[in-house]
Amino acid sequence: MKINLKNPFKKNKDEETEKASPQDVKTEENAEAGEFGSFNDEEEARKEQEERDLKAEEDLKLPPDPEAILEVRHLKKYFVLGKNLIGKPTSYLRAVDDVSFTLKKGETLGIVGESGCGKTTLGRTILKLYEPTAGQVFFKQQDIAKLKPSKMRPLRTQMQIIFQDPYSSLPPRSTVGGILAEPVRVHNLVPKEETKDYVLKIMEKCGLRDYYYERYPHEFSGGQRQRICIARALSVNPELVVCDEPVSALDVSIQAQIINLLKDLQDKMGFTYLFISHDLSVVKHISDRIGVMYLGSMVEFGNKNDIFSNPLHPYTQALFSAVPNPNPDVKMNRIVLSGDIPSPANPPKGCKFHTRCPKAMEICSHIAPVYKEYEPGHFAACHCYPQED
Amino acid sequence: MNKRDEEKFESIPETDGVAEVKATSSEVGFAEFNDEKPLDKNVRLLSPGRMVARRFFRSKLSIIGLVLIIGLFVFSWFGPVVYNRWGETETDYAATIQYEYNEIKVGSGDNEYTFYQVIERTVYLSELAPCSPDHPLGTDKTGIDVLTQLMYGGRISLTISFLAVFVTTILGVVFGGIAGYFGGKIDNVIMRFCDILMCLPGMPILLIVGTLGEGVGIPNQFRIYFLMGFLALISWGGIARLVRGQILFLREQEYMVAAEAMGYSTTRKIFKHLLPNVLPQLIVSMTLSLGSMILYEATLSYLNLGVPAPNAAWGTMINIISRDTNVLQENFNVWGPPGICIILAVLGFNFVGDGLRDALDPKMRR
Repeated sequence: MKINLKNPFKKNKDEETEKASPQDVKTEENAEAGEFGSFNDEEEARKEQEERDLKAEEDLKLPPDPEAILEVRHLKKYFVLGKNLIGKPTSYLRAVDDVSFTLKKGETLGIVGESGCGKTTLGRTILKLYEPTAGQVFFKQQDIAKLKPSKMRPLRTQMQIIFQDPYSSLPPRSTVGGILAEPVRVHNLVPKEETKDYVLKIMEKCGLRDYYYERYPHEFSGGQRQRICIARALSVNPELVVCDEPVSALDVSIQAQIINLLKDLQDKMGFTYLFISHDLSVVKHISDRIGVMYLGSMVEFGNKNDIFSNPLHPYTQALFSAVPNPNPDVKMNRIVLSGDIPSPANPPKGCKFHTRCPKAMEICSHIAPVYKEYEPGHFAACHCYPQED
Repeated sequence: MNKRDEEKFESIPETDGVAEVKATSSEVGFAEFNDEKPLDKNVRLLSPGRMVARRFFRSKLSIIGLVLIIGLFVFSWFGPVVYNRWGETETDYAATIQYEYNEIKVGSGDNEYTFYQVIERTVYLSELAPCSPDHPLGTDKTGIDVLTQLMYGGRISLTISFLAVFVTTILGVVFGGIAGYFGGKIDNVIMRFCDILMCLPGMPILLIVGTLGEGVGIPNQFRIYFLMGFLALISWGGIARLVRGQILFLREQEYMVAAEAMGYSTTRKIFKHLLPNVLPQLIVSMTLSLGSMILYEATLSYLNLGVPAPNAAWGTMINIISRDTNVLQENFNVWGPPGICIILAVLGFNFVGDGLRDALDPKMRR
């Protein structure tokens, strides 16, 4: 073997290209993507992106789905990381990047994904606690993404949020009664004299004793505090409740109580939940639909049973293979992903998952897959499946 | 039940009425509370304020500080009511007999004799009188009773420092609050202005301003108020930083996000949710700066920028030693008491400030 003394690395490079060529052929066969085999990828990717943007713009012009209580279209939330001298942003953190889904009244949508994938940001952007960068959010057929804060205020009673940390989500200096009565008073939900009765009724619904009314949050345990948080969200009688990992900070026995309380309340009062969690068993228990997020994008979305019985996206498959099974006789086929989650400030080109995907192909690193419906109500974004209509 | 739980309940008689939450429920939901009895009527719940008070009074030093401060206030405001023998600026014209010696030398050499001529004079001004039943702390050079002056001087000193701290705090809260809540460019402008203020050397500028004030025609009796007001104007930077930092921290707390999700107005969020939570730190910094304001007042008075005669603040009363060294040597009763009062006030405010800081620290659960 001849070694190039002047440039010892050149040989390796040659070898690499040699190795790469048969793979290319394979890719062409597998992905029916022959036309992408030898392209100028930057230009091609840009063209593709432009086409997508055009299509997204057309999507945004469609009327809202009359059946959905919540419809999210191409929602983006970028946080500005750096600015240049004039104050123009130079780099972004793409916390939520082009997410679309619909949610019907009375249903529960579970959002799963690993830490830092933008679940919480998605929940908060939908409630306009963060200003969306682009996209639409239809709440009861009304686009709230561009509403001014003053116009948003009356709508706040109809959408509420329950937080992950029951310790920091209650103001330390007011009593439970004060916390629960404040929204009722501010929004004039009931006549003044009836406020206390109203609050006591809500406390009872959430499993809180009436004499807790005069107590302070620091006197309660985590589970009881979470009940207070739930009671606060319910006090304004909302239709949509975003549950942002409401049980992650609690221990398992209390988790079950809180989950069942949430389900109970949903049956009685007909709430729609957007349930954010990284705990798949919890999500499986409570959800009707499931959305899987990876690095700010929705990679798969569908009915709970479809997703659990037939996960399409390799990431979903890997995620579900990690759910522990209590039966020791069942052999687990765990798909272990290599590497860390990339930074959302500098996401990989093409499919965001291609750096860790066990089924990655060449095209994945160039062009992002289309988010498409493969079964009725079952969406996925992966090059393993046909991309053209 | 551990110590921390016990602290939350205050049991007056020894009963076992402290609520015990038995989490033995197998059923989910309301069953959790089935075993729980309602609280005994004798069990009082502790609000956060009461817990702070308990922690505060557990420290001996803070009790000493509180006693000192209350003592000084009572002394200054109720003292003159009880000890009303002399008016605020009343000179004692009591006839006092003064003796003077004259040495007369006669002759020379070994035959030199010294005669002492004793002159007895009756002066109708009791100046620099020693302690006596009439004047428990004597009189000063103008014949004013020192104890009376000390009481009225305390009123002026304490009022001035309270006013100055009050103005400083209001300015600091307003600017710090705006900077912290709105952020961005407003925050930048206010904080850079704060930086500039904190670069200014206080005392030289006050001296210049004092002289300027005289030129502008500010009457002498208002000069110290003017100066302390100016001091407040240039010293709100520290409080503004504190408030801004606290508000930046609180703004990200989930209960503030919850307040936003509830659709509360901005005014409500600031005044009902943010400021009450800044208050603890604010109270501590106010108490601590009261001590330094008293010192500032004393220093300015010592430098002849204080309350003009015949009125006096504690600082002005010490001022006398800068003009007459004899008084420094021989009449401790004139300048000692105001000095001690200043020390006691500063110590008291610092003790109370330290005690409050510990008591308001939510991590201190003992």
